[in-house]
Amino acid sequence: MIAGDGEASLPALIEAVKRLVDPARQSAYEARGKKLGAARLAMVERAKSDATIGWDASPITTARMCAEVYAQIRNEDWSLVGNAIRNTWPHKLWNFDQAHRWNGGSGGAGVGYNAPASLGAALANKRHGRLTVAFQGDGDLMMVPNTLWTAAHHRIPILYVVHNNRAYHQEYMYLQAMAARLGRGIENAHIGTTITDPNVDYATVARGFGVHGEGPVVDPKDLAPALTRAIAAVKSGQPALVDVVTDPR
Amino acid sequence: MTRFHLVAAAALLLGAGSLATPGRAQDAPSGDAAKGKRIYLADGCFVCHGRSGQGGAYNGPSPLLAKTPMPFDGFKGQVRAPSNDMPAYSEAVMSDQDIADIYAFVQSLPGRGNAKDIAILND
Repeated sequence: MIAGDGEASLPALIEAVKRLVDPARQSAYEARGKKLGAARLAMVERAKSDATIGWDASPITTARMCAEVYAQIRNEDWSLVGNAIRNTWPHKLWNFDQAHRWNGGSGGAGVGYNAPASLGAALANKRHGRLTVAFQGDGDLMMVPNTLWTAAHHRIPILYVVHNNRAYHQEYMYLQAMAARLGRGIENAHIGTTITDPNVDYATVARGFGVHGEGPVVDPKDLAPALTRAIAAVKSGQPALVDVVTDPR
Repeated sequence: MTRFHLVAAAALLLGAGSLATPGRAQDAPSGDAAKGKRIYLADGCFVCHGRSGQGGAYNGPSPLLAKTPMPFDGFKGQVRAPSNDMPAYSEAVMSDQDIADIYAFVQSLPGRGNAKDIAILND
């Protein structure tokens, strides 16, 4: 096992590996690369087609949310440092062409990891002037909302896009599956797993902690302008949060 | 290959068959899409498959359901005795007619649009 900073070490490591490539193997690698490239392009086209389903729906689909964010950051030096559980759209639709575009997940999927871990990554990105973005599950944020105060206090620029499905949703799905497996019916699976009555207004929460807050965004047409305002705040050196009311997955 | 994959593969094969092929969407029992929508939302189908039938993910992918090519018999089989982590719905809690209504609802969903018509998917 080699432990180290991927961003610092991978470029040099890649070059070192390239120098060792046998010229006889080069064509085989290129042929394989072409196949993989074609498969990737086909997957992206399929994902774009899938993303159209429910495009104008409210609650907003995660595909729409992710597409709207990417449309506004794709020409920046962006860095995605956090993600909500099972939100697969960035890796389907976005072009991760540099090491700092994605810094990985916790590995353990612990609730309450994403918000502070993303802020740590944003702090690391700050000196590089990168536009740091994190998709933020609402349940995860419920564990550690004080992260927002830390972001404001230390003037750490980050855009939190809250994937607000009003639930500890992975747990909600898990309880449905387990209750059914045990023959108990699923009608009580929402108890303790949904975050409604009252709904949380995360934009107001953010503002209370000194963070620029937008939302709740319910109509997908309102998402782009809210993101524009929030990104302007991030570019001025502030943290910002956009609360997007989303479909579960 | 999981049972779901087998069912899905069978669905695709059947979908590609001749007009006389049994088990196609149009051969499903008559269902009420409006009632199906109510059941879809009340019984938690949307939790994994999305309100627009766009699919999602739990421990693995939750299949896209809008205009599913899966024939009704396969669809019902998945509801009654699911593969993977999907909750099973017995006849005691969901009748065959309920499933037919849900099937009618997912067939009534708009499904995929044309990605070329959406500018931000083509930048």
